[in-house]
Amino acid sequence: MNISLVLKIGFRNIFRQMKRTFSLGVNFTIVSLLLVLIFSFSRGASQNVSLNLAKATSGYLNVAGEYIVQGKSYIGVMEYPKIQRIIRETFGEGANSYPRYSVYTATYNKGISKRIRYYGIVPELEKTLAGQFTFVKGSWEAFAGDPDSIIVSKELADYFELHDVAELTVSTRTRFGAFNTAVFKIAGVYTSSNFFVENLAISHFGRLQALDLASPDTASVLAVFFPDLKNLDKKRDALVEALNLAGYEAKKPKNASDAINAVTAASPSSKSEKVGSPLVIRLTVTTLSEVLGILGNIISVINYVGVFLAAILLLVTAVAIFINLRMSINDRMREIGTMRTIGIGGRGITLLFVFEGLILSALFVALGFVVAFVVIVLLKYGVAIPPKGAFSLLLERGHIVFLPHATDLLFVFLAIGFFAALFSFIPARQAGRIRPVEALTRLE
Amino acid sequence: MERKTEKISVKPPVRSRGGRAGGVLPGMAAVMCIVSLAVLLLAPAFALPKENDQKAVQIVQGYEAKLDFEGLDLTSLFTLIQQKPGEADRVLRVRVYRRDRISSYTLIYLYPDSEKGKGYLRAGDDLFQYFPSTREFVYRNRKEDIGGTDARADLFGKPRTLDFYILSILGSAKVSQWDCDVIRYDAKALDVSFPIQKWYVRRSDGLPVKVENFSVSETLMRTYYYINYAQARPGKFLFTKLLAVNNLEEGQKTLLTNEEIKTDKIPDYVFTKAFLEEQSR
Repeated sequence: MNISLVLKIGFRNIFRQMKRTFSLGVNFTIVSLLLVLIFSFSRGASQNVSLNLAKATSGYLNVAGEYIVQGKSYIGVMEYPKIQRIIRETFGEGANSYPRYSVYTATYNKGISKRIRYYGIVPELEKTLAGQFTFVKGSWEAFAGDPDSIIVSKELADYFELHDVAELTVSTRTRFGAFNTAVFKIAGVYTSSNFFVENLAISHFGRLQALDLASPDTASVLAVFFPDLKNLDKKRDALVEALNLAGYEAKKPKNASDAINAVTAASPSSKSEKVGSPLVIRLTVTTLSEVLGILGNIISVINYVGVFLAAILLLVTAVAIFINLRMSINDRMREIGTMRTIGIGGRGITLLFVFEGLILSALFVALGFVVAFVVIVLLKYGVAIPPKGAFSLLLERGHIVFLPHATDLLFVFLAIGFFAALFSFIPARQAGRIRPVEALTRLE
Repeated sequence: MERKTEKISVKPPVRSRGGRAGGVLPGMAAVMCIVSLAVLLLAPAFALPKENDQKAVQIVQGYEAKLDFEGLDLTSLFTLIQQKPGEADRVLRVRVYRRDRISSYTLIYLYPDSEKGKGYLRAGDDLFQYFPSTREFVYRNRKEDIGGTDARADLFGKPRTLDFYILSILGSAKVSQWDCDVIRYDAKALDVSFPIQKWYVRRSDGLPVKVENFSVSETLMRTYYYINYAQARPGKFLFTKLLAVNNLEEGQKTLLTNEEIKTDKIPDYVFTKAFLEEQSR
């Protein structure tokens, strides 16, 4: 049996019945288009959410925890400069770590009050965070230059009617229980397309430390960054080991909520805890994906729903292939009989029809890829969506993020090809078993 | 009635700056750790007056003796009216059973219906809040505000000033038409809500008429005006009208009135969790 001959015949046969070819081919195109869009979207969304979070309030690894002094437990990372040194020793100069301080406090202005989270950073170090803000009033430089200043989102500025107001009064219950207050100057009002910085008030690290009466070597969290996002789990394990060797009680989070609690806990009042040593420092090291927590789960759900829908479409397409091929075989009975008569065996007939299905799927899947790329380009560069609410999670500067990947394209190509081959084989095998006499004498 | 927002100084007593956090040398880091641990343990002692002013102590002990009902049981009905700008007045009514001999009181909500059955039980340093809906007791501390109002839980019990504060005399002042001694309270440790307070004690009868509560950074946060007292027994006084003003939230205040004051003996079981549970059935 001459395989190349069978392939040539199969290729030519595709264009003999254009209507049937086209109706089946459209199925392949739509399924491949949808699958490429779903995979590209979920990959893009996942990376976009992770990167946005990393540009905002989370590191690639986060070191958070509690310390126990004189029988009282406080939230925070004590001895953070020493821990920074351990990070440098473990990962080399490629790793950067930034201390951050978080306080959840009541804010007052003109009879309006609200509890908001203040996020304390060292402005000279946090250039990436600075890039997330578009200032409608003031500037990053004004904020960086004044340690008593803050920048607030436009939503907060509108809520507190800060149009002509230069200061905000805040009141917090400190980690020891006493109330403390501060007056912050507003150095800037910003907007951002990054969902994770939408409603923050950004302050100076040292100022929030002072407000919370924390010691100079205490941070709420240490955010650690590497050149890339690879192998974060292994890096986390290495850091946990290094911290335990240095005498700390370091661990991974038990579950997703443990991870989120570790990173987002602002300093509450202390609680009592009896321990053997005068000072115990417990640390939890979380990865970026753990901090994403439920958002990561949502993205996975989007993926699963997309794959489920695609599976349904594939099934529908498979049924269409089967029916289409059965009808085609019925219409080409004389042709089958003639081919059997001149010596093409049953296997050759089967292969012919299977190859027809495969070539059809290959051509129209490729077309689907082209259409998908056009759609992606249009959505990515042409359609701007206002970043409102939770939907802004999926946007990068107002555009949906798609990340088509070669492995996804290969998977789609092979999956559709497999379906085409499988559901072509069943009727094709039946065609291969028809006796020549029967094929030639069957009435049309 | 005077009301002001007063800011005396800005620096908190413990520390103020984090400085450049990323560039600490290893040797310096060790020194910083030792120093910060020392500061953490000793911070309250650095920032505060070391000894009580004896005249201040005398004045405070004088009024606490008048307000202390040790040896007596006390039952009264408090009405709290909280006013917030732009909102309807919120009214709470609570009955308080008090036994200073064991530093205990039981407070139970009577009004509104949505709060009825809730309560607090104070036993020494422990304060428990009772929720009838879940039938559970949640541990609180003495820093809790009652029902989200501006009235602290420790307003209803026996005062224990000298346990938590160092006292000093600031001089004298006039509150309304009364001449008063002004006593400054500085917290011994920063685990009290208001580490700095100023008490204005009327010279004519030795009773406080005004209290100003300040934050660590000495910002005026709340002012209490003791508008009226009643004499429950000879030499023993209880406030019957108090105005709590929130100096940070413009226009927010809570008026407390204290009525139906009785000094009859209270059954012992009233100062138990079982009593609170029973009342909510």
